[in-house]
Amino acid sequence: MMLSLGSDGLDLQVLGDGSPLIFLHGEEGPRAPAPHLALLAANLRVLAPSLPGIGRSTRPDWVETVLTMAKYLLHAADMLGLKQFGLAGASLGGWIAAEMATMAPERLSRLFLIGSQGVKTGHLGVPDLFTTPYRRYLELSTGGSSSPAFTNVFGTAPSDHELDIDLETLELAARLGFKPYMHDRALLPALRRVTTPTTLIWGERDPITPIVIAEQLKSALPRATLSIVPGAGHYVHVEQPDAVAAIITGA
Amino acid sequence: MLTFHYFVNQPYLGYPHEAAADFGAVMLKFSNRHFDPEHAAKLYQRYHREFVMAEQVGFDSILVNEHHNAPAAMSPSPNISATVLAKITSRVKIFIGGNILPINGNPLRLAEELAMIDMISGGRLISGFVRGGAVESLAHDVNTVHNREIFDEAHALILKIWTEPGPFTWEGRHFQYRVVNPWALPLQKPHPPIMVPGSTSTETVLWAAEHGYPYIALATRMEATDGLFANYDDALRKRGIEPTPAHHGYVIRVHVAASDDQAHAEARALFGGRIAQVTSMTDMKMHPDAGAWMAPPGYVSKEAARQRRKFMGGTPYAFYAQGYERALETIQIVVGSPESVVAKLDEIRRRFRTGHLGVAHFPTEDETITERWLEMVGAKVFPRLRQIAAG
Repeated sequence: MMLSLGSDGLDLQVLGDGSPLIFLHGEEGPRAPAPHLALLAANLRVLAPSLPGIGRSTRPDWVETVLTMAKYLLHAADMLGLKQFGLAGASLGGWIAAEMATMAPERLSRLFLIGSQGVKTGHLGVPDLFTTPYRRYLELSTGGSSSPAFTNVFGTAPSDHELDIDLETLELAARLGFKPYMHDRALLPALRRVTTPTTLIWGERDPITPIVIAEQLKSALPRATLSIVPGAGHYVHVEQPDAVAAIITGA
Repeated sequence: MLTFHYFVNQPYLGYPHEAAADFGAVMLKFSNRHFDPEHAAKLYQRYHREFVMAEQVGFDSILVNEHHNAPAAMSPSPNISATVLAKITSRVKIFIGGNILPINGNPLRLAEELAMIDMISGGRLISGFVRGGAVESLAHDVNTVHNREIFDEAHALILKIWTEPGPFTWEGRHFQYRVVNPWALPLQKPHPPIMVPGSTSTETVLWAAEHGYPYIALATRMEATDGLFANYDDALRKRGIEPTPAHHGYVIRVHVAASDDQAHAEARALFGGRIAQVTSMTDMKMHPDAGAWMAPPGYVSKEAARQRRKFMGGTPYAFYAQGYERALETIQIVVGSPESVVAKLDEIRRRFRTGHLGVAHFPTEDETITERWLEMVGAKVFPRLRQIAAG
């Protein structure tokens, strides 16, 4: 569905019935197929937007940081009539979700951060999204653990339309996370007020946001648990959609 | 009126070329542990001698530029090269081709520095403004998504500084200044000539035309250059300005010797030499990440990225890799006796209706080759071409 927000529009996939869960993709893009969304929709009403600036979702020109993105998406939740909702985000989407949580913790019934960005990683020697070819970056992200599910999404030659979506996704990621690289130094201190029950879902061998990042988030969040997915790399929801859906629906 | 610009990158030559080949790129992350300041210090002296010589042999201008993290050019600050030129030459124009506005960071300071160069040189500055290759934005860590916005805003501010009295306040998207009131203004009025060097980005071609600035095509391929000047002329006419040769410039590598045979023998050696190949940023790109360094997110518009994908398969142009014969055949280089070179350059001049010819040589460790070349183009090529151009 297209949600109108002022003169802009947010394109959302809406799947399933039940309590609402907003799912934010990251720099891996709003890809189809998205088995994790279908699996979640078995128990939940899943609302998965294409982030502004990607596909049919337009970007207001004032949305140019993760903080302004978080404000915009909270407004989208208002307009969807969601008083309380679950919120999940992966990687860059996790960072956005975490900032949303700092702004409106009372709105969130549950928070799920999957291999979330937002905490400083550059000094750890992780692959840099903006100086590594995109396909190579995605390959590196698995930490050598490429699953059939991952190959199904990323392994095939992209169509022209998919290449366009890649361009838009990377452009948005650069806008939000080029500098400082994919983090906000105020995030960890601000998360202390987020009392929402939170699950950190992390790949065992995540080379993009190593486990040490999950541990820092866990220390900052008053009510967080860490769920490590064995054998998974960074994009856990793409690599092991069943495991991620089980953790979220079981929480 | 035909003007000759001496185009020289001031390449750094003293690094182990096998290290570059092993690394697979001569930009961004090719380690500066291979850079020896002692060697570079000597090279600066050599290039400055060649600047003086270029003026003596009859060049009208000397074109210096800006590159970073690469042996291709020892001129990360073109304003310093220009300042040197202001003091060691007395007649030639000093063409900064150009300052990379998006990575400069402080357009007010830049306007001041350029004004100083114009005053110190007695009004000889030609101020080029460029967006820079994408890799330059990475070298100075400026978000590539903002490149064009910053370019536009910095340019608008510099123009305002040069044409309106201060103090005034600037509250832009990327720059804010409480007080703009520099006590350093250009000698040339209303401001130093602005020219836009580029290598075919359609957006930049149109931008230059919209502002009435001459566009200087940097050794672009012939057919592409026809197309870009056609676009440029259309855009200029839409502004009600009839294009003249003063609006068009073209830079090309030239080698000249007493006879055609000698010129080809020498040029083939220079072209095929390792030194040429490894100092070319666009040739050495086997490093697995080099493609991303040259086309990071948002650097070009979505439309331009699509076009690039469609027509070039995403591969940037490699100059030396095409081989000597092909470079000759496609007129990417001009080589021969003075007569042959005059005829070929005249053909190019007519084809592009250009009033600016940027003339470049090949990088070489042997400075006697460069000196001989400077003498030869000055004595045997320029006078005849000027005569022909004057009709």
